[in-house]
Amino acid sequence: MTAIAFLLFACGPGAEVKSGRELYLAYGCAACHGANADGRGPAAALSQVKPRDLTNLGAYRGPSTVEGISNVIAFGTPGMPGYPDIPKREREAIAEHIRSLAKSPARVAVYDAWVRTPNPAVDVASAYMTLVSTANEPLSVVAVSSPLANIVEMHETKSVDGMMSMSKVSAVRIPANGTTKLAPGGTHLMLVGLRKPLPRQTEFTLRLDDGTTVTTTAVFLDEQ
Amino acid sequence: MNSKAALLALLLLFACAERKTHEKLMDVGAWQLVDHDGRGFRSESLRGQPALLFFGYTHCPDFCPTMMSTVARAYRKAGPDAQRIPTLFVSVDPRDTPPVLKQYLAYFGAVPARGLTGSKAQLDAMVKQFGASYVIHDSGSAAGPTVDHSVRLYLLDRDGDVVKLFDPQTKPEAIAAAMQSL
Repeated sequence: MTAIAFLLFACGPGAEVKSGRELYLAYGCAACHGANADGRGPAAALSQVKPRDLTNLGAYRGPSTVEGISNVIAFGTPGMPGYPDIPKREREAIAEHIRSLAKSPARVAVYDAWVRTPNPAVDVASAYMTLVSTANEPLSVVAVSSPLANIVEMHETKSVDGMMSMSKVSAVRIPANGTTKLAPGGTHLMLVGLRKPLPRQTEFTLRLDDGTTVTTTAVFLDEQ
Repeated sequence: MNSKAALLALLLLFACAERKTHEKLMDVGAWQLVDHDGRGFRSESLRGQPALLFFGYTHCPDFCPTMMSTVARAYRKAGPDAQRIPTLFVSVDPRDTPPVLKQYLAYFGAVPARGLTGSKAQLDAMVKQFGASYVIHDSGSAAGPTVDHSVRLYLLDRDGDVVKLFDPQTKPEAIAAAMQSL
């Protein structure tokens, strides 16, 4: 991956002033992140870590300010090489361009999404994640989808008087500026009709009642 | 009664008192189900072995695997000697036939698990004897019926008596310690 990145860098632009979009394309950001920055560039498949969908900054941990994005470009991340030789001014122009691509500002961030490695005997699995809202009013997750399963339902597990009761719910509420945790023994996602063979990781897209969507990647964990 | 017999009776009583280090919490009595190989399995089938037991079903994506992973951790903590204590996974879900149970439980390698099911009459009697309950209902899920069920983990001693009850939040260490004490 690094070799490809350097090759792209070698073909980088000269001294003339270019727009953030031109720099984005000239430095080869599009190879992994895609020309429209959706994380689906031609070299994305070669990367061990899924390139970030830059149009949806809020769905990922990591900086979303111009300075923060500029630093990521310079120093890289565990999944992306750094490009310290791109001048700061140009890095900032690229960062501005990336910020301009962001769809509606996502007000919910998703952290720590994981799927319990499904038992091969059954065609269901559960998934968990932490939802953090920066909205000043309560929001609700009203639908969830994933390429991993035909159907993703939201379920609540309640334990009352030593009896465990599971029920499907139509929405999961996130308090204003608050956090909702989907965790074992509580609210969780139920996946029905699993894609086989299982991929190494998957993603979930959550639709909120304000019309925005948030996409997150999820890993498989075996709690045993 | 002559004095020899009295002494023998006293010795026997003493031996029993020594052996019974845990108090019986409930009198579950004898029960009969079918195991994951399709063979009859009765309370006496444990043949003097302690056992863990809980109610679950394979289509349960959240609680049952969580309980199973707690139990798996307990076995790890308790060491190899604890492998003599089977875990009985009792399903009241009609979808859980013996072959389904067997395949499901094979996944939990660290746990010497035995799946149990049975006729509705057998299951209802057994559930009642354990002071448990269950309700099968349609929750509108694409995965089919939901089984609400009791979530306690039972520890049975060598006599098949329930000597410990754990709730789902119990730490694996506590379960391991109780297993080692039997």
